[in-house]
Amino acid sequence: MENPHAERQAVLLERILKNTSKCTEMILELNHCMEEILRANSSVKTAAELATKYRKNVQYNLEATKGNLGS
Amino acid sequence: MADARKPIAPNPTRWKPSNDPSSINVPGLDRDASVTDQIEQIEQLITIKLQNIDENFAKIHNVLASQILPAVKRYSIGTEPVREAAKFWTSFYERAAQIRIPTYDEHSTVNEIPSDTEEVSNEEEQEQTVQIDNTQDGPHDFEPSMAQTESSFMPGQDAFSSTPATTRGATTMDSFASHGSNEPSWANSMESPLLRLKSEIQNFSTDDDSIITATGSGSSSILQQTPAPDRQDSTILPPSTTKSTGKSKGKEPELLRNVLRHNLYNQSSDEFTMKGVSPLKPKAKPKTPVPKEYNPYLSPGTDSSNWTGVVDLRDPSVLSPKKYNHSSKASSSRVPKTPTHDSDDDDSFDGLPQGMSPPVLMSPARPPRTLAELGLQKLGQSPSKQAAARIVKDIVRDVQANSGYKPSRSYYGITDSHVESSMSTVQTPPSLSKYHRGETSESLAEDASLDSMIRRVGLDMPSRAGLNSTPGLRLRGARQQQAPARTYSDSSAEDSFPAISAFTPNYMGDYQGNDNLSSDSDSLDMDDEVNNTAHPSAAFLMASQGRPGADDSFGSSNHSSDSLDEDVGGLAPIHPFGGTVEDDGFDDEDDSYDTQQSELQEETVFGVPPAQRLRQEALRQQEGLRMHGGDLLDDTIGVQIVAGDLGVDESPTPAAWNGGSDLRG
Repeated sequence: MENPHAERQAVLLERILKNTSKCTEMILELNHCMEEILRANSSVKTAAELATKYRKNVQYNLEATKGNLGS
Repeated sequence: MADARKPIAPNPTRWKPSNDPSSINVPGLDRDASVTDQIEQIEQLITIKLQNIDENFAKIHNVLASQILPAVKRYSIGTEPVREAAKFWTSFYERAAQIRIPTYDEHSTVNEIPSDTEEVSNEEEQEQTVQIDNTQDGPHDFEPSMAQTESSFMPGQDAFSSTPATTRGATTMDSFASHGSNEPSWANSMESPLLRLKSEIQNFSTDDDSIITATGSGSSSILQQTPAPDRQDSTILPPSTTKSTGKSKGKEPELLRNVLRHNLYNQSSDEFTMKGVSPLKPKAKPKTPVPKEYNPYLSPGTDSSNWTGVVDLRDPSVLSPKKYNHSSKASSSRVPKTPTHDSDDDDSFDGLPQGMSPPVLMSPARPPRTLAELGLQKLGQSPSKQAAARIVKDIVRDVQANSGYKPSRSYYGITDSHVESSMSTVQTPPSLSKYHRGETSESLAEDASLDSMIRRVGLDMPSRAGLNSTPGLRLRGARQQQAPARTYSDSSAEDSFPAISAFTPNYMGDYQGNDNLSSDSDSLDMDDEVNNTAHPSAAFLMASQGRPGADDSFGSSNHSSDSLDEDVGGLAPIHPFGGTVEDDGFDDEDDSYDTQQSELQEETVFGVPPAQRLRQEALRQQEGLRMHGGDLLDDTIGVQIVAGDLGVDESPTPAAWNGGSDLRG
């Protein structure tokens, strides 16, 4: 009696399953891409931090030198 | 962020299972119908719900595939230049600080606190966390901390001041200070990142056992040296490539390698223990540790321990050893590519002088020299070829000057002919052929020899596109409709100036344009003027040889002058005759010979060259423009050219132009 419903629902469930698996694959691929980007950006982050710290140190040394000059 | 999109409806409250059927509330259900009907309705509701679920999942999939993933990939592609720049800058800072920064993935343990005092404390903390990470999170990839870079930047390293902030750093640096050098010894033993990665991969694929055995000897050294070197290194992380290879090998070997690497970077006491720790890593271009006695800056016989680390570079005797052609270590960053630098062998540092580390890889901002460039260096072996080499070099230089400089290159001062040589190599051969053919085709005014100049000018007025020598010196002004003198980018044409001024009277006896040349002698002396007046243009020739031709050019230029008068921004000329565009680099078009009018007015540092002034007059004679404080037509020889036909009275000319009258004929 409920066969037509069950049939229809089974078909729908199959489609849902297929779509879900495809979405999962895409999300995995997305994660992979994000990981690569993150890996690549780490060097950018490193360079930025290097520059920041260099500038900080330079500023510190300049301040120190300025103090010496002033005295 | 979701404002532009339709709002997402909140999910309906979840259905809570209840044992009491009467309390179950199904939204779409008609409670009044029979049970069977209700069941039917419920089934239909289920079907509809499943359909919605399927639709949502399909939508997710579509959005992911069509928008998100492509966007992410576009982002990754778009940020590629940023990554390249970051790679360069990290190598730059590495060289500046003479340390090595491992570039790894994922978590960053870099210290970002902006104070110096905090840096030291944070670095120490990081080192401890790093060690913990290394032991516990072997399979994970770690990002190196920035603490390594702090070693050289820290004031404590160089100054050894007594401030509290720096003493902490100084104490940890004692092991390094004992070497009598400011640079950490282990830094010199670091291979380049690429070589290290390559060696890592090789090690992973072949020598697991040997590494394990080596680890046993290294591990003890790790524990002993942990306190002191911690100041130097931060996290020891496997390279990104190991992530792919390490997974297959298992977690334990990776942990071993992490420990090995940790030891590698932590080496401080004895430089030569490096070899014991990682004997399998081939060092094609190693940064070997420099033993104390090989200090190149020390005069032989002095005690290396007493070396304060301060080298007076003004003293030539202190400079680098003879075998190493570079004068300073800083220049070692540029890999010598010329054939003459035989001592800089890549594969062995036997050719290098003692104490000098092998040169590091070239900066990625510099493209590798092409074969043509290298070949050009051999051109100058013979006198006849030296001229050809000079020509080529000048052509290359002009081409590079004309083409857009990359900001990085210009910033680094890489303006020699080596840059973009690949581009120049394509263009030089035609120009060289044009030299020999003596055509009026566009050719870079690279010929520094008098004969070539004579040939070029004597045969027929060579149409030379205005190529800028240095962008800074040549500004684009209004276009020059007439081109009595082409604007050449003659960086080397200054040599030919005397020749031109000398033979122009002979060559252009009745050429009115010569007035410009001779009268422009004062301007010709300027290097910038060379570009404009060194090589008389086709317009001059036409003006001298055939009035119609000149008139046509003038007339047409007059017509189009209005349209071009407003152009002061230096746009490319759109003159009807203008087949050539300056500043585009290398113009080999023969059409440009007839299209001298397309030249741009180029102001030099010293002002508008007289030749251009002449052109302006001819162009704007009707407009009565003023130039240099006076009417254009007043004191220019160009008036003579145009006046004859147009009836403009010749104004009294200043004394400087009197010489032109002779040439006027």
